[in-house]
Amino acid sequence: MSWLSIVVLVAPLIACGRILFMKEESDADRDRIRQTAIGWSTVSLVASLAMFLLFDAGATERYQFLVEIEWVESIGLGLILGVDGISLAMVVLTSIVIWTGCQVSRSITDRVKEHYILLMALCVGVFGVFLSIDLFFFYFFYEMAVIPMYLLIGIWGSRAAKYSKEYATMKLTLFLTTGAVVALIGLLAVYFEAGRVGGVYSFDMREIAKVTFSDSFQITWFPVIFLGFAAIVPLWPLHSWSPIGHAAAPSSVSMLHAGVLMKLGAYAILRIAFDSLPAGAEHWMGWVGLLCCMNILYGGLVAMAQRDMKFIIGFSSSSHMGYVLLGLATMNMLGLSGAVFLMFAHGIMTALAFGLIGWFYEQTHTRVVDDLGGMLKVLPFAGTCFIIMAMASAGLPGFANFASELLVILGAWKSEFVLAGTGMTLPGWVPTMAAIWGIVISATYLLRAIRDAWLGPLNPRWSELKDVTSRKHKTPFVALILVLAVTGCFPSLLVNKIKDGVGKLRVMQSAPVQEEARR
Amino acid sequence: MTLFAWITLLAPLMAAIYLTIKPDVRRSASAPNIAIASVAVCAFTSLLFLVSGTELKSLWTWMSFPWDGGTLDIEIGVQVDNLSKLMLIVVGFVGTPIFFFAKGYMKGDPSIGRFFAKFALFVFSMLGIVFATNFLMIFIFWELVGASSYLLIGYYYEKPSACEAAKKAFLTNRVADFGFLLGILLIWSIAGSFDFDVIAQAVQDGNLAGESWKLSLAGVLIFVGAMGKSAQVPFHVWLPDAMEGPTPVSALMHAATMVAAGVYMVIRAFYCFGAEFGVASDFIVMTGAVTAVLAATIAVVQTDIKKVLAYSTLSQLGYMVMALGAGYYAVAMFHLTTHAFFKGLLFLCAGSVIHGCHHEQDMFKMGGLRKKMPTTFWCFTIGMLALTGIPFLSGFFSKDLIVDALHKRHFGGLQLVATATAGLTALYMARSWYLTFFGAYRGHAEPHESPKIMTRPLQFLAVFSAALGAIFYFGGGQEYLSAWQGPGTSPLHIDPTIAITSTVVVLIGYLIAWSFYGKGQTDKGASLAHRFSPVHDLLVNKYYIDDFYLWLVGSIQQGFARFCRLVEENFIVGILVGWPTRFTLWSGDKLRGLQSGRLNFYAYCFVGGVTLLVVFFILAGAQ
Repeated sequence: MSWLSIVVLVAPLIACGRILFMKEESDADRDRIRQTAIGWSTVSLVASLAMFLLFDAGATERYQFLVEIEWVESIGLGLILGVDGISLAMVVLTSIVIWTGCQVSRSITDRVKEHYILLMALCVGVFGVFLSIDLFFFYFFYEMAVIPMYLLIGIWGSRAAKYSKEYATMKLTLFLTTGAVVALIGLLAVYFEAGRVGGVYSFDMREIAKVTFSDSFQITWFPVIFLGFAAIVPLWPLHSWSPIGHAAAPSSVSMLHAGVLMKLGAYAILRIAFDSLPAGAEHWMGWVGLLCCMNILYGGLVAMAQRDMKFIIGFSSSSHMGYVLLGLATMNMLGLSGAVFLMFAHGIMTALAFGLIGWFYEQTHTRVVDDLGGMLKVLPFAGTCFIIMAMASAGLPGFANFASELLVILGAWKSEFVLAGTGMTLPGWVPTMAAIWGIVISATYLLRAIRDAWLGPLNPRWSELKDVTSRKHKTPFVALILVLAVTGCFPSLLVNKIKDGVGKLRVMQSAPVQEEARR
Repeated sequence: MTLFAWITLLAPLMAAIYLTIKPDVRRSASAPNIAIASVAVCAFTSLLFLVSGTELKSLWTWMSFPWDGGTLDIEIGVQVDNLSKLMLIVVGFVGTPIFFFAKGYMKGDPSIGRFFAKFALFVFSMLGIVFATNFLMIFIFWELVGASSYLLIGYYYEKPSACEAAKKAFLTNRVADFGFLLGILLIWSIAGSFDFDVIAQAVQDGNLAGESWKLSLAGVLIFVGAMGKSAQVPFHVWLPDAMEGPTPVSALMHAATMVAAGVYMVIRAFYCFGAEFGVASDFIVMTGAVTAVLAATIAVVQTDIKKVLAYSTLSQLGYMVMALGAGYYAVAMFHLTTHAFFKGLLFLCAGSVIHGCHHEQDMFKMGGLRKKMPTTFWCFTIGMLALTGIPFLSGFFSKDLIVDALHKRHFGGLQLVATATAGLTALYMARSWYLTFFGAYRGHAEPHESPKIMTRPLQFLAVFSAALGAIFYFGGGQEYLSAWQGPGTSPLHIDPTIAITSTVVVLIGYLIAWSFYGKGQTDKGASLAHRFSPVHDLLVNKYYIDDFYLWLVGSIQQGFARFCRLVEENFIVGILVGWPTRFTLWSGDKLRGLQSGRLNFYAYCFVGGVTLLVVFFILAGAQ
């Protein structure tokens, strides 16, 4: 069944090719283009769900659905696709978000063709990152995801408070490419060092994972790779591109951006930095345990002082990604599984949020909560979905966000964060308290946003707003809520696969050894 | 029986989901019936469990992880024992009549289906707390209860005050849950499990002997969680505001069951800690006493009939918490049970009055309703007598046992406080009784008695309010809960001295109320308020606690948030990102000058560069 991973990756590529040769002259043409994109993203979705169902969580081999295509043998370069429990969750997330994103972007009527080509190209990039087991292609797809993003925001975006869309997209691209270049240096260092130590020059992550690097190499190079990718997570204080990028992007792109693109960084850290440089991770991650508290608390507080709905959700994203970083920093089973699960949950949740904000923004042309008010009366469906989204985001049990944040909190509580270089140790309860307080903060700004925008007396300006009424338009929102609820009520469905992937990470396997060494 | 337990838990959830996803059902007349049926299941199984003496525990693994060489199982389960059976009876037998009442009360509301969906969701969450087998499960349903409370308080979402109240309730509870979750985590580190039975076993075996201070800390933190839901000072501010919700909601959630969940949860938790727990009891008993007095004094000056009852609820919760602090858990549970019935009754009576007076809640615009609404009047009277502890009605037994418990634990001062509060209770209840039902009608619209679907539940609850105390007391209720008696306590008996003293105090309370408001007149009370206006202002402004919180949130917290936003915009965007950007622009601007386009300048550069290279190689070669 390994062809499934090819299907997932190639389906959006085919869509790109198909749309390229379609004409865009009438509304019917536009609709056909849209249907093509939705159709091929459905193929990806079905294939990834099949992968999800067929994935064997107890298998001995680490990667499943493997496809290996040799390319440049002399330097150990080839296209290798496959998934483990971690990337499986990410692939499913991506396919769900892109499938709903394609449907939500119905509202785009200007240069539909280019829009969908770029969206599908972005999609190929993201799938490629999650599926690649080869460092070269990993990086290739990573860059491939950034470029369409630049154009999508630059062309179809909207003004974000005092920043123009051009500023926003420029900033985003510069941050991400700078981060990527820094990470590339680290990746090359790992490649050459692996060749030097292990004797085989290979970009195959499985080969690299067999090499044991010296401690000093790991401690030197871990921060380089980590920081390069942390810019996209985004780790405080490298986060300032993200809320503006969120706010400026059109809704389908915001969905992909917050839902999936931000997860690339954390995924890359897990997959590459943790797997090849476990001792470096062990050495440095204590600091991340401290910095992520800034993400959680500071991000939440800034969100509290925002008035633009997209900025509120944007800063809340950087606050929630702080939990992911905290989960990574715990370096234990609960925390890491929680982090991956939260990446999934947060992806779905923000996709829902931006989809809904897009729905009313198209009609109101304002997102400032003070201008809105009482919209639940005229938009009962969208409003109910929004309240459900906010509740999920604020950590209400029954939704995936609660289950995953709970795991992160449990993991952090039992962890210790060694602050390398200072000789100090941060006991687990400090970040845990920050994390729990972060939940209080997130409830505050979300409930305020609900009250200001949706509840209270209806602002007469909005009495003509159109609700989501047709089945076609309801589908993406209902689907996202269902995913959140099903994985939130029955987390084992997903967590069993994630924990299999996490258990096979090198940091997990070497952890007991290092613990003994520490004693 | 296991299946019955699961069905009982899940039936209201199914009803809620069904009512949410089926818009045509939601708008139909059968929407309330579906919800009523799902609650009636609970009443039925609670009786079944009680009669058959069922004890069971059934677990479902929610998540499982390899951990510390073993596995960590996070479980959801149902547990039926004497404590949960009693609580099931409360939920089932108070809940069902309130649901019936709600069907009448909400009749004609365009979104009645939405109301019953949320109401059923609440019952599901509440039952989850009742059935919980471990701390994480109780926390999960704790949060769900908070969310359904949010949804129901904010049911009239177009009213800004309702939205504000809903938000306040949710956030106040969230702050308290901060402590709760920390407490749960702390217990997990000490005992290595979340399961009540496992923790209790570990405490009994003495495995945690060296951890007693941590256990006490965990106990206090968990109690903080209970302070949120059970609205103890300083987390009490949300409960009076929660009266913005429809009256059946106030009756079931904010009087009978949800607010009692804190007390129930503490009994569950502290039973585990056994004798290990004790240091924090002073803190708990003091919290209860402060809440009881503070709320009772505020209740005396309220004008809204629901607010009087809300503050009365706060005050009665204070009693329960005092019993908890004294270690008499069974007595706390006893008062919880009787209170659920008579306070539920009183709220429904208030609802009936409000319904009859065309949604008027101000008691000063009522009066003389005794003749217009006879059934409501009699039911209210029974509820009031039961609440104030007139001998042989239910409140008499449960309240006196609490005073006795304080006496047994040598909290002499607090015993006085509890007795005095009983007098205050009589005062404010009789005041509202006179204002509402006696004298002349002061309102405008013509009041009318409520329909049968609303008065039948009143009569049903009135019977229980009158008789339940005696049934529980003489029927061995305390022995039934003996497993949950605190360490070193035994079932209490009515102490004649205490009973007579408190009855006299209660009668004095009635007498004062009669002297001021006896004929439904309002002028005497007003002149007294005028004479002691500083005290009156203090009480009307709820001791300025709400204003203090408003200041704290509005100025301090929001100020801090604005500060962070300034840091974000000026430091992070302005300096950390801005300066490198400006440097890049500046350097590009300066270097641009080199590309002047003048050929002779390029030629000079070329010659200069070649010269430099030649010199470099010569020097390098010379070495």
